[in-house]
Amino acid sequence: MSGPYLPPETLDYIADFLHDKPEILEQCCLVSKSWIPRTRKHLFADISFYSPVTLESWKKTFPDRSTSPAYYTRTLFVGCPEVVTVADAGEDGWIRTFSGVLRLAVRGDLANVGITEISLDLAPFRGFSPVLKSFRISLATIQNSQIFDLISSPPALEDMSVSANVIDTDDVLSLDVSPSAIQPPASPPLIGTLGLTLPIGTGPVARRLLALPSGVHFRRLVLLWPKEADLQWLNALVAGCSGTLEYLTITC
Amino acid sequence: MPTSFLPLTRNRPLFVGDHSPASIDLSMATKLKDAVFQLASRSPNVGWVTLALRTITPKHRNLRRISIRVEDIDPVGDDITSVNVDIAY
Repeated sequence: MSGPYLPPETLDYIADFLHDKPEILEQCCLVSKSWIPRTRKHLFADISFYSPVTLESWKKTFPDRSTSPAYYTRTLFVGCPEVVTVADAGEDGWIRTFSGVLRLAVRGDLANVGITEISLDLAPFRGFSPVLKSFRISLATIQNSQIFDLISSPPALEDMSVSANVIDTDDVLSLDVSPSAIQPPASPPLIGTLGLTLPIGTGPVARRLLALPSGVHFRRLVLLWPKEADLQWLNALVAGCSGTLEYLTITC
Repeated sequence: MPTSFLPLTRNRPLFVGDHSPASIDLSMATKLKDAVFQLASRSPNVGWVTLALRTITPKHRNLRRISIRVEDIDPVGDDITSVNVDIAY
């Protein structure tokens, strides 16, 4: 016996109305197959991998990537990037199952001042989601080239925030600033927030951002001014965003 | 106490003093709505805030609030003292 027909829009409205009630959504998910996608959209919208344990739990629960709810994730937090990198390498681009992520936050263990992070490969996070709009990364150690690779690859990127205690300065010395060497094929829009908390210096990152073909158009700048020599780059960022800049925070 | 202001005449800096390039130059950022200056309490250099304020002109017609915060030790920690200047034209 079939029940009364409800238009799909009505079912969507019901699921949307329950977006912040996961326990009820889990019940709804069991109603029928047609309820699965509309409830998964909310149940898996915000996923956090705080530790290797949570990551392993996810992989055990959803071993088949074709049926994984990762597609529905819009906000992804990774607190164990080194483990995700290994998982991605072992399963041929596992992180790309999260191809619909809009907001990504990656945070390394700052307490372990970078012993493992120095060799951390961030390539899996580069361009894994073509719709990524916000990228926040906080690591103990990061290379300038890694920062630029990460922020220049997502075509829809609007907001970016980089926080690192130590930057590998080797590539600063060898930084080639010729336009042909530093310009990616296409520039992300970069119209939201730029946050740079780099005690070792803002210059190399700012220089590369300002060299993007389409320039920078941030509405909000949150900048750490760690040393006198960075002033020219902070002013260059402010001037570069002068047509759009509405909110400015400077910490010295 | 509020900061001393000059009369709002065309192209004259809003705050008393000469423009100096030794700080953040806001003169081109005329769409600015909100500016926050955060100082670590251990930082001996506080003059940069004054210098930055001197680059604000009446052309900054959207500017509504300037906040000056003194942080407690950690430059990115919670502030312990703050001064807000709300601007109304």
